[in-house]
Amino acid sequence: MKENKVGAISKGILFLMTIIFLFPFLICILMSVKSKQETSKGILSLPESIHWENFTTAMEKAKIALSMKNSLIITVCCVLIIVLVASAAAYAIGRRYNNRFYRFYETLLVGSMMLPFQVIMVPVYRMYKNLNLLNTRTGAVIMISGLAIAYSTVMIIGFVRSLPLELEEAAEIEGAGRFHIFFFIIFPLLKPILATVATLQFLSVWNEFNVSILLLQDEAIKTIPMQQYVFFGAYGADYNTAFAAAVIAMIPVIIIFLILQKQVVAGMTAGAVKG
Amino acid sequence: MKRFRKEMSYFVFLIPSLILFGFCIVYPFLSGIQLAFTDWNGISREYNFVGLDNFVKLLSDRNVVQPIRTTVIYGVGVTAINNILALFLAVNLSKKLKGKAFFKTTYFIPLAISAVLASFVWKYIDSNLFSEILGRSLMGRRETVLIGIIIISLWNNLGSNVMIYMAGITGISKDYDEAAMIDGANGRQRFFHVTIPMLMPSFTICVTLTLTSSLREFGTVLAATGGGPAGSSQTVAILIYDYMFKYSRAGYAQAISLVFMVFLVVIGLVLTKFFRSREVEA
Repeated sequence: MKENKVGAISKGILFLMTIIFLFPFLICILMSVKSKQETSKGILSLPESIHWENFTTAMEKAKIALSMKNSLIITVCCVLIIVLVASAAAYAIGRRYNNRFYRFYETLLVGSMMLPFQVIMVPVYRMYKNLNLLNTRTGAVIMISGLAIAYSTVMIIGFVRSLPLELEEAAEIEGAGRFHIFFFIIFPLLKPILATVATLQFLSVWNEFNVSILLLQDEAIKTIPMQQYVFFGAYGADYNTAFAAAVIAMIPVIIIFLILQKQVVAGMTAGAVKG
Repeated sequence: MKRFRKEMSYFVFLIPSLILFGFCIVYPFLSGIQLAFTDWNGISREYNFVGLDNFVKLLSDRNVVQPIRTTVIYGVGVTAINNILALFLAVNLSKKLKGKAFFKTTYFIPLAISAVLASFVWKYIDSNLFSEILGRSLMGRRETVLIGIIIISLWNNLGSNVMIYMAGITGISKDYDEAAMIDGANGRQRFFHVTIPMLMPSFTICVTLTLTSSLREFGTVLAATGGGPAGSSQTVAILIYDYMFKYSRAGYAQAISLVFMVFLVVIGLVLTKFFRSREVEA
């Protein structure tokens, strides 16, 4: 009896929290289709008709097409670089696991994951200024990828080590070179873990803020989060347009998230299951 | 010679990683240590070495006290609430439940939303809904601003801990629970004496990750309040950013960040050790 009561209360809290978690999305949709007058009636007031013009205004004012392009270029480049560089390094480390040098590098990678970004913020800014890399997409891609490879590499090493050596040895006897072995034998076998790494990195690069605010200040190369940071500040009063911009920016990433949810869960729980 | 060539054939694969890691982390980190002993202002090309000056100044800098307090309150607050809620949700979502996939997805989706967007939406809710219900907005007042930011962070990040705890719970063999049930343990006893001890590896990860990431919180605070009102939500990460870009004291900012890093690493190690020692062999 008592346990049933506890169960009912838990369920109640679960439902309540679910509503709270969905509430911001509801507000976004509601606000993005209301007119200014309807908005002034209160946050929960319903619109009489759907004001699609908010979306067209948002596309122009928030320069969504431009920042979407920047975000897409930067994200795709970063994910490709991260997957290639991390899997190559993970292959070398995983296959040379008894070698002191490779193990030391692995430790270094793990250790770097504990570094707060603030520690390298000032020197990175200085270095980029001296190299004229500030406000360039290339510069941002290099830095964002560089900061992500440690985590990705460590995730892949374990997977590489679980792959049997036989296939490689057989190919070696037949005279295949290391590159051939990596790209035609190892790389396809790594697919599951690479899908997970790519998904996690896609989301994190798409939403990246620390590096972008430091290195991408120019209007023309702002990514979506950066553009929103500026836009929400500047057009704070025109909430309907701002929310329409928010909805446009949210939709692609939510769709991708829903499609790849399995990969995200696999990636985020990888460390936990191993313990 | 042949062995050397074989060794090199592996090493080649490490080169891109070494270059990228060296350029993005090792070199900035080392040059950062050097910068911490200078008076670089963040703009000019020249700077002077000032020895331990920055660190001595830091000891008596009153501007640092408030951000440290804010950071610790925020970090501990987020970590405690996040983990309790995530554990609660994970336990309930691991039971038989209609529409489980829908509930799970609801908690996971905010993970895909950027901190900037999350802050914007919640700021609006805060100033237009909370202010009506509570009679005042949470983030407009010094006393309650952190509560507002904690809510944003929970909404934005709770999902990942729910995932990890759920994976942990799924990994616990049903046998333990059944054995406890046969011995007459009730639901609560089973939770505290079977589930919790078996979940220690998940605690190690969730608590350590939440704490170290919330202690370095930057994007959410910057987008939600910019550190205000009147500096009441300024975290150490924001302070470092302000010293660099607002007050042009990059050398000093670097000194603070080094001390901050040591502090974070020590906390991470201590926590990991604490939880690891409580893990039980399955």
